[in-house]
Amino acid sequence: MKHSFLDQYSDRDSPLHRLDPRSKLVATLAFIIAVVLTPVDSWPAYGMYLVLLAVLIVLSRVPPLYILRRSLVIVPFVLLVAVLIPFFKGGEVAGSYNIGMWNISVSQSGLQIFWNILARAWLSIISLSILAATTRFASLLEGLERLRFPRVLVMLLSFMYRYIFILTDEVMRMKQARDSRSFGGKWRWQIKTVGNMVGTLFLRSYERGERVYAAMVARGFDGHSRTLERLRFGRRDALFAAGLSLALVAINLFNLLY
Amino acid sequence: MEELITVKNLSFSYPDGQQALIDVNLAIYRGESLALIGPNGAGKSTLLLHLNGILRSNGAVSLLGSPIDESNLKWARSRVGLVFQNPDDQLFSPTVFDDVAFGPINMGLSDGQVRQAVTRALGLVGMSGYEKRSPHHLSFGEKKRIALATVLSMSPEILVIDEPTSNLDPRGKWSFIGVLERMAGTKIIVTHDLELVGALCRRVVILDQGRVVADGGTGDILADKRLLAAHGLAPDGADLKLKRRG
Amino acid sequence: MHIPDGFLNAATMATTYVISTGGVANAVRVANKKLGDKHIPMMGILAAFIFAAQMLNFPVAGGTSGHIIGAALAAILLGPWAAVLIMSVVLIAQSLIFQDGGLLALGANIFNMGIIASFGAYLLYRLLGSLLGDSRRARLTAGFVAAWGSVFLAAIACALELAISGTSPLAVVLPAMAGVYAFIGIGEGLVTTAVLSLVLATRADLLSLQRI
Repeated sequence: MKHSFLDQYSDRDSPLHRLDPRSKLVATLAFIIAVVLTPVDSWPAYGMYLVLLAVLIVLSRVPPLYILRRSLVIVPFVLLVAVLIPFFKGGEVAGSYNIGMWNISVSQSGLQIFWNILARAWLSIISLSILAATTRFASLLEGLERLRFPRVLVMLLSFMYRYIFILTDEVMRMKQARDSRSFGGKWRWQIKTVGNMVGTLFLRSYERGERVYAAMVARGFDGHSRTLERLRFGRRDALFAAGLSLALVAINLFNLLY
Repeated sequence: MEELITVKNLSFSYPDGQQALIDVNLAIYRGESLALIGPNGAGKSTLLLHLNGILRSNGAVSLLGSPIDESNLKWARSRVGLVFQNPDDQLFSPTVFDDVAFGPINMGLSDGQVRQAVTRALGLVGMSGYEKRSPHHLSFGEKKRIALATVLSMSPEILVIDEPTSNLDPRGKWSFIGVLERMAGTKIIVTHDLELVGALCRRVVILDQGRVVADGGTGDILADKRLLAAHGLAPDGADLKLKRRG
Repeated sequence: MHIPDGFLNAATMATTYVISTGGVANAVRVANKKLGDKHIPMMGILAAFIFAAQMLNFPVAGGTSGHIIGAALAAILLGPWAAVLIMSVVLIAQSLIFQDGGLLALGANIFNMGIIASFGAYLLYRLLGSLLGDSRRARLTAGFVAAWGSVFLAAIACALELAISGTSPLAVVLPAMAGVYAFIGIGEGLVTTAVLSLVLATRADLLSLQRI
């Protein structure tokens, strides 16, 4: 079965794809930290961050629309906060609306907070999307491990990643079997059906865990498996991480001075 | 002939009380290829898990003369390579390379030796160049071959293969049988597939309800339809009549 | 309930990161002690299970659909520390692969949906178990309340973090989140109950396994 939702563009080739995952991880982290710490209402800085991301997207050869679609996962959260803006008190009133019997006034500071959160969240999520779209998950894990991310978590993540494909296949087959017997009817019954599917999936996963462990033990696993060093951190990778950090520093200096 | 594995008076029951093996005796010799057949639930998989010490019943199984116990487990597992039935249980790493390298790394080989072992094993199963692929992008037949390679990379003396042809289409099955045929060394094949037995094995052991009920040459055993029928490995008279009428 | 980057202030992010790091480290230690090296494939595959279970949607009011978080299910079936570990792995992967939940907000997300939800569910389940007894009905009731509570408590933690960060006033975000998730929690409760009833019917032995 096709799993287009996983690793869709990360197998392609581009200057960004070819970079060492460590370089990209560090750069992404630096970018998000810079964005989150940039003071409120520094619009020129936010604008420059966006330009930086646009350059990276072009370099990555990933369709910009794909990245944009990906960034929509923040919408539910943004809506939640947006709904609450009118309730901010204090500051100048930016506008007053009559909705039915309610008179809602939106304050300047409430709006400002909203726009800032939106800008930060959106910039961060785009940078994460670029990282994910240009790095195979396996090599991302390798990068994390070499960056001293705990080995146990790397192994757990790698097992999870491997079996996501198999379990989502099982989910798809169960959904088909369910829908071919015309899923519908009472709400309680639908929930019960989902519960049974989740339960079946749990039992199968648990039993698979036992079998996989046997297969590992059969090849001498004793809990201390290491991996071979395959990554090579070259000059290009150092240049990328350093260049990006320099750009971030420059943007913030500019922001401070003007 | 040198005796590689000796199973002596092996009985085993699971914690829930189910008696899986009863007084099993078996000798496996260097270079032979042996089929272990029997109906579902006969105890084949339980026996197989004893052969490299995943299940242990105090010294009942010896490898090259030494009883398998806690102290020599790692050695036993590198000598007896177990290929599981479902390749999705055996291939648990993000890339083919990682999976094939898993055994050699656990054996403590150097990086260079690990890489050599991986290249050699992938070559043996005809899958050179697949190192960077992910298991979820492989066909079932390809996964079966990689699963075999994950064990071959440890250069085991004995290959134990559980249901090598299950779920393969006829073309996949015969090409996989071809791979196994070219493999030198001692092979134990657990299966229901009598075509496979006829093509690959010289000796057949039938296991039923936890006991060894027959042990002999492939030709003799496969010709004994009454024996096969008695242990659920061939249709008996009643089944055949039904089939003809239906 | 996955908080993206940009919604929390530095102090909140740092605090939740420290707590979550400690929690995950302890979860690894406990799992390793109780399960040995088997915990690695087991917890990894069960994390994939939670991930896949989150793909199974059920209808919620008004044509929308929801899915379970799964922390309660994991905590009841496997124990709270196992649930913390599994949920953390799921949340890390969701952030890195799907950008669902931010990188700097990961500490907060693990705190809410991993630690609070798992321990909330486990404690509620145990408490009700000791009050109601061991019957099938009692277990299912306890499961429902525990699952509902896990979602509700996680939402409250999330609201508090947003309020402390100055993203929303507490008087508004708390009732809003509590209201919405009190409702969503019903779905979590019902699905969790259905799973427990299936496991009780087919593999009751799993419910008497050692908890981690």
